[in-house]
Amino acid sequence: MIMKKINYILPLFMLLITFGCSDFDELNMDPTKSTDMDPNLQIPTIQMRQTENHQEWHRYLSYPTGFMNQWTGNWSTVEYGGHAKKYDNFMEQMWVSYYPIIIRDVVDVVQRTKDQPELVNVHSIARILRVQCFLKLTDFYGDVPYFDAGMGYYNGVFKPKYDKQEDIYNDFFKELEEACTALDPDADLITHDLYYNGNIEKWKKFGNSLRLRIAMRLIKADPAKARQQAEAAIAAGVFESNDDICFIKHENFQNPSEGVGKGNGLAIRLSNPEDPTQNAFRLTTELVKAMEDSKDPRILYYGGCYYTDANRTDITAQVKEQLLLYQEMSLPAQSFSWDEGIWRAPIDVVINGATVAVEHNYQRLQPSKLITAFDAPYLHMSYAEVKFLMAEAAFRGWNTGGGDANTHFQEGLEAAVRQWSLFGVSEFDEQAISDFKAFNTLTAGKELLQINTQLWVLHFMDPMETWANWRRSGMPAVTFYNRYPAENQSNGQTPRRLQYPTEEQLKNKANYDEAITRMGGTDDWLTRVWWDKE
Amino acid sequence: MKKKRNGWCCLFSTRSKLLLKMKLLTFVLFVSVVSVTANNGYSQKTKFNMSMENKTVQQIFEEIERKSEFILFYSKESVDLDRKVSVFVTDETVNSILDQVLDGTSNYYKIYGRQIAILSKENPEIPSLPGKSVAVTEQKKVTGSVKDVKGLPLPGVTVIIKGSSVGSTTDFDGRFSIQVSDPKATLVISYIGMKPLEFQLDGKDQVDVVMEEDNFSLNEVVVTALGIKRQLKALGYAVSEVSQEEITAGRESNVMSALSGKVAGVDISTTSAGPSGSTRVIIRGNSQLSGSNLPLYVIDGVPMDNTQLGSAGKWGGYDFGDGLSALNSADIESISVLKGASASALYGSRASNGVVLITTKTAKKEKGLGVELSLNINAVTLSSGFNDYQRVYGQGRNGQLTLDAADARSSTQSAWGAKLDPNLTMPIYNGEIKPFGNVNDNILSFFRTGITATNSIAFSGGNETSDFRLSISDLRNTDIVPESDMARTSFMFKGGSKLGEKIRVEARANYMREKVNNRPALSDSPNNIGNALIGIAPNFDQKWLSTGYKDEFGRYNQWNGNEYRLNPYWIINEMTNTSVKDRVMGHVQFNYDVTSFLSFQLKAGTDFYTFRLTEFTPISTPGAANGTMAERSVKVFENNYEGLIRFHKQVGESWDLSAFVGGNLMHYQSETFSNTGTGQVIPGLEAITNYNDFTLENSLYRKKVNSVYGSVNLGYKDFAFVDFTLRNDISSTLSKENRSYMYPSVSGSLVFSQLLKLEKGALSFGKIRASWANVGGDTEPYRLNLNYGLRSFTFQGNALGEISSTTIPLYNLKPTSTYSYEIGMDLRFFKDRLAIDLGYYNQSTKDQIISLPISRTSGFEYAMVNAGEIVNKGVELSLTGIPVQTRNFEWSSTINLSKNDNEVVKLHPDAVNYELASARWANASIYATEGEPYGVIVGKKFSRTADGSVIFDRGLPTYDSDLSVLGNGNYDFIIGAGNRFTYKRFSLNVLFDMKWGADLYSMTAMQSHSNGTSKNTLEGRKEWYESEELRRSQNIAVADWTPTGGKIGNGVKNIGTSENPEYVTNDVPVNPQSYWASIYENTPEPYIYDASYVKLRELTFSYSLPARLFAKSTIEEISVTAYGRNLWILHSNMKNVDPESNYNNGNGQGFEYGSLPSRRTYGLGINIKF
Repeated sequence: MIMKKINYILPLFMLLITFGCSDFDELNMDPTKSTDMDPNLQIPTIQMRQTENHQEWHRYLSYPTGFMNQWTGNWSTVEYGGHAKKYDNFMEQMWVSYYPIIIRDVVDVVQRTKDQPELVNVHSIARILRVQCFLKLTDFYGDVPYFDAGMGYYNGVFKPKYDKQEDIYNDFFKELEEACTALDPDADLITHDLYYNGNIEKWKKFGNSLRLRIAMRLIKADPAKARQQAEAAIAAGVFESNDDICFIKHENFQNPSEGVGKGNGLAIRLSNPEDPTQNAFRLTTELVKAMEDSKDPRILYYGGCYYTDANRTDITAQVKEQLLLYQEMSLPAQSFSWDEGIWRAPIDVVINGATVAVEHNYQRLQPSKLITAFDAPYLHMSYAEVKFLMAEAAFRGWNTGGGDANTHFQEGLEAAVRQWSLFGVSEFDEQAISDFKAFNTLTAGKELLQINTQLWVLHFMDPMETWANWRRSGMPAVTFYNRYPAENQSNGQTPRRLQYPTEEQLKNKANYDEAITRMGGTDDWLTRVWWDKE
Repeated sequence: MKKKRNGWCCLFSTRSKLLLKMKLLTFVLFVSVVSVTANNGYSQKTKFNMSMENKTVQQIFEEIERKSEFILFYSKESVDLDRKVSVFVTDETVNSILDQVLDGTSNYYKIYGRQIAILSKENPEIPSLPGKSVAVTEQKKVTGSVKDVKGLPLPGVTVIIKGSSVGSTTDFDGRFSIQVSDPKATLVISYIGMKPLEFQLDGKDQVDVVMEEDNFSLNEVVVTALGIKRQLKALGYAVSEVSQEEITAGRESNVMSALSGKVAGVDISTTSAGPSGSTRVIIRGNSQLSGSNLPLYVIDGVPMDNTQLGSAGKWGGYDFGDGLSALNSADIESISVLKGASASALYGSRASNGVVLITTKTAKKEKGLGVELSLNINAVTLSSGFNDYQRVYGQGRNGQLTLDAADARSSTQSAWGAKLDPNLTMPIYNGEIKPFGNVNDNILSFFRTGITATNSIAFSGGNETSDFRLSISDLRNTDIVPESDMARTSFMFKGGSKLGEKIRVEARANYMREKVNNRPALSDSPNNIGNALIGIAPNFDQKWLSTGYKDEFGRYNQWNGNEYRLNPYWIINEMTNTSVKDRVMGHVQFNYDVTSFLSFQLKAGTDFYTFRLTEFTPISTPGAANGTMAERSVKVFENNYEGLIRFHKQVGESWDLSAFVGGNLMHYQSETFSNTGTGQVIPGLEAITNYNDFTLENSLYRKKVNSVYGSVNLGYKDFAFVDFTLRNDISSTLSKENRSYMYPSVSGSLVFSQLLKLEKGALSFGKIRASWANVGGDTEPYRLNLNYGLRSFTFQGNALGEISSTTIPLYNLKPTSTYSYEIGMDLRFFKDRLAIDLGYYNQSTKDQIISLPISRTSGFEYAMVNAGEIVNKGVELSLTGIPVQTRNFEWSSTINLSKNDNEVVKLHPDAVNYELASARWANASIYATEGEPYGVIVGKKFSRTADGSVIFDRGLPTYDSDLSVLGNGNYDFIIGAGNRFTYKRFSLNVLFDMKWGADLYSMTAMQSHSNGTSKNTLEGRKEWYESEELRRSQNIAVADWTPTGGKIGNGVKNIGTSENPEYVTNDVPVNPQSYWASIYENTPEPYIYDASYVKLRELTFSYSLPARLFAKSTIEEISVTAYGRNLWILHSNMKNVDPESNYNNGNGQGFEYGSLPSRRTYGLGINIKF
């Protein structure tokens, strides 16, 4: 009787248990995720991830921007970059926002498509993007993990070794050359692409232009290779007009202060969205003077004086009327508005019929409304830059496929102004453009200074490129004022790289130590990267 | 009395109809129906396993007495003791044994507490002592009553005439009558659980006595794994049971917080979120690197999901509370804490951190409808907060007065200004001109007194076959943070019924609804009020923030130049967050006694809840200028289906064998939807549809675990016991190859006092225990494959795809293993006046499934690995004593002490550190580091010379480039000391809570130094400002000036080279503001404090009103309690913050980050029983 009952119960039990297990494999697959996604879908992510982050932009703006005397007034730009004080949190931002996010995906796309000839275009584009991203990393820090980087899933390497910058650069050239050659307008369609909407020809030009930029970096370290690569890049076809500019148009969206979003991270950061009337960023006297002295028509694209009313009424013209020069309407680099000797008496201007007093820091040029629009485009590489680099190449006597240095330079000047159409400038003062060009013909003996000063002005919204070009060329002279020597941590000089994140000491010590040893034993920001020879 | 009986008789006859009416909730009408409580608890709680074949009635009676505290009274004349019968019962009450034994005879029985009278229909009234014949000489009738110290009548008390066999027992009202032949006779009055009394009649014919409790309780029964009640003496591992009284004493809103200091080996902490927050419970230390270290909670045998819905992290957040907050403490009968792995081996992997078993109240088999009403109200005040600051310098920078509003806007949280002078004025952020003098309580006046009202009513009723209990409880709280409040309402129904002799069904349903408005944000949230308020200068009254925080268009006004620290009045008045939690928990259980030694149980349990959060941030809020709104809904369920076959048989005279096999199917699912709207379209309309742009997120976690398990328990002669268990889990979270795993446990105990017959001496009870266990563990779902997904928004019409894993998956993950052993002893002396429970445990968790933080250059933040070993070993000591015991006064005392040593023995070949938490801006992290205790605080130290002097460079400290261990975030030594004093109807409970050995990084302290509010920042200010004055008067640039004075750091400077240093005392003055800023930017070292504390945790004073006051009413009992919690911090090393100020309950403990002041509670409660 009892056994009979057990005979029923036990099998029932076992049946329940085994029955329940049959769907376990499926149950452990995340229903909201895919294990095999079209790599095309990762391309826009890789592209926009670079410019979407409110926080990170703020942080890596702190150093290069502060070093390069283009912006001042903002706390972290002046306190850390401007005074050369070290802050690990800021120095590591580039690293932590690229490697585990952008590099992860770009390496993944390259890996997943490498043995698939039918995906040659996605594969090649990913290779170009990969170079674009690693260029920032290596220029920032020097030797960085490259060949093994981002490969954790594929090769199980949790501690990538730090590669020599020279090896990384050599691979850049190889990658760009192979990718641009492989790109084929008749092969697979690029379905998602924020740079060129799948236009393969433009991708080729971008790859070659990037190769030109990279080649020009080596002017001190390996001039022969610089020439060979620059000539090859130009021959393979670089940007030919402002239509080729590599940029992302953002959306009119304020990214949350703790995160990412569709808006232009740099623009949002520069706009002080929490209260634009309290924006502390100011154009530096150094930059404004250089522009004003060269009759640059772009000053008002770069900055403006805005009153503290809700509309932030543009009072630039009225202030200029009283102060006469734009350079008077700026803040000396590496300064706060409250620093000693900065204060100036208020001036009266009339807004809507009412006279208001404008305090000293509102007499100075703030970031313009063009560049602080949340949907402002972010320019990764411009035609003007290509022309300036070609001007330098021509000046050095390299083959640029025709056109002398001044011709390239003049084309660059014009392109640099006209590219503001991307920001919404619809009408250009043609006279001002021709005056600008006429005033800035290359002068014997000053060619390199003129070219690189223009690159400095051009890159004011890409501080990392400004810094890299300055380290490469040494021009223009950017003064480090060392206003607070007691707190200065750079021996009174402009730093030449940033230090590795401290967490690498813990997570990748042997390779980190090896890299430090190669640099001479210390991880310091005065150490020069390989291509930045004395 | 008669009247009352009529009351319940009446009710019982209509019980079935009543059950129907329950749905109609018409119980309130029955409140007036009178009831009486019979103390039949013991007979219902005591379960027997007996299989005796063909034994005499006397043998069976003796067996009952041997196995329990029952004493049987019968007269040899009226009971046939030699009749042979067979009895087979498993987990049954004494009733069913007696029913079987007496079936077919003219005998019947009555149970009075622990006493059973076997009566005969021929001679129904007076039973006699066992084996003695009744010898009654009718002379004089003496009547009397017996009550306990609370004045409650004691039924079933034995009253015997000393030196004779004549006796009687008390009835339901505690009354007895007895015939005595000698008017000077002495009555011996005894009752198990009470101290025996002797009473000399001296001619009296009326006797009224009060009996006092005797703590001697050899056969204590506790709830163990799978809800099986077992005798404490048979257990080979430590189980601590906490009674209802201890749980409800301090009226905590979270049940587990009430256990703080009451159980040895259990570390309980809360966040600074207050009553809506969660509780962290760590049993015997942390053992897991990734994943939860919290125990498994099981309610009436059904596991519940205690996942926190959200907690504050590095970037801020809220504490959304935990599952336990759903339980009303008044519904809880008892809580058993199973501490070691062997105690919990039957619950599987989730139980490797221990199990907390909660048993809810069941209606007593009382007669009639019982009603219990409890009314409580308390006030929540501030116990520690931001008041220990310098009161010398005010708002500003560089010792100077702020000159205009624009300047004031960026310096509201900077106290580096001019010397305070009430005759001066200064403009504040909104342009108003205010005096520049000290304002006392300039920060604390922001907070208000909170109020909590908790009211509950419970109805219960039952008869021999059925019982039910229904309770409704309501909690309303307004927090110390203005505009923050919560309401929680819970219902519980539990009922059971016997269908015939062999089947019992039981069901329970809980429903809870909790609504919280404006939960305080914690950690680095811009809307953390603590962060906004700390650092305001001593001249600045927080009230000034309440006007002018917005402009005439309703837009946010800047006040401090820091978008991460919003104006607190904007936070409480303009921003909102509201959450609603609905939770249903319950079970249905079916028991079937197949035969006397075999029974079968089926149980289905569920825990289901939804959580809905709405967060609104108005237009112009810094960081969200266009306004945002977030709607988040979470739906979680966990269902468990369990079947259990239990077997129990007495083997021969000495052996007792019981065993069971069971199986469980667990199904868990958690789905989250969130939609965040950005860019409000119609200003002011708070609706998720009123936004331009949306971010959508959806996640779905699913998991199933199927298990089979079994246990064999062997008992020898009631003093030696051995248990074996075995469990096999099959988890969906592991690969096919690894998903099935088995683990065993063995434990044993020896009651040596019984073996050696020591009970008569000073040692009344002595037991040693030992156990060993292995518990396997699985992991979270979806950790085996690389996943791709889309981002939560689109961009320019493009879907944004990416790898969604930040962790490198590992297909081949193996289950983790926890090995533990423990030994202990339980000694009781002087009839339980003194009890000592001492235990040692050693637990090692190996092959942990960790998401190992790896170099980000790998492309991932983490990699899944099987690695690591953490060992926890420790000692637990529990001392209970009754130092003073007199007729009216008693002092009892309990001390719980535990010491845990924790070591991260191994991590991974690729890592010696594992980050458990990090705090933004703190330059500090919490790590598990090989060779160190779990959870050390690490950061950079000051650079020091070999003899320990800090090295200065140009007047500022220098810092190491390597990270060092600076502290430990976990307490290693915990003492809870409770004292209870009772005098007649008064009782006083005092509980002290002491914790030693943890450190805490205090962000509040760091802020007070960098903002210039700390008293430490006064040093060198006067000198520096004078030097600056001089410099300015001579018009010399900073770079060209040699300061004449300032903050001179205590240490040395190097006047040699870096290769050959030569150190002399530092004499370089610097700006104190720069000095403290430099430290803030580089090292957390000065802000790590010893977080040890001694607190007066709980103080309750109760009085139970004499029954005579309401004798004529239907009220049975009224008691009044005054209580307080967290009344007094007797010892703490921290200023301005409570050492118990963690911002979350995660694994990385040791950060205080812009806390709210801690809360102190005073309350008053009334309990009324009808």
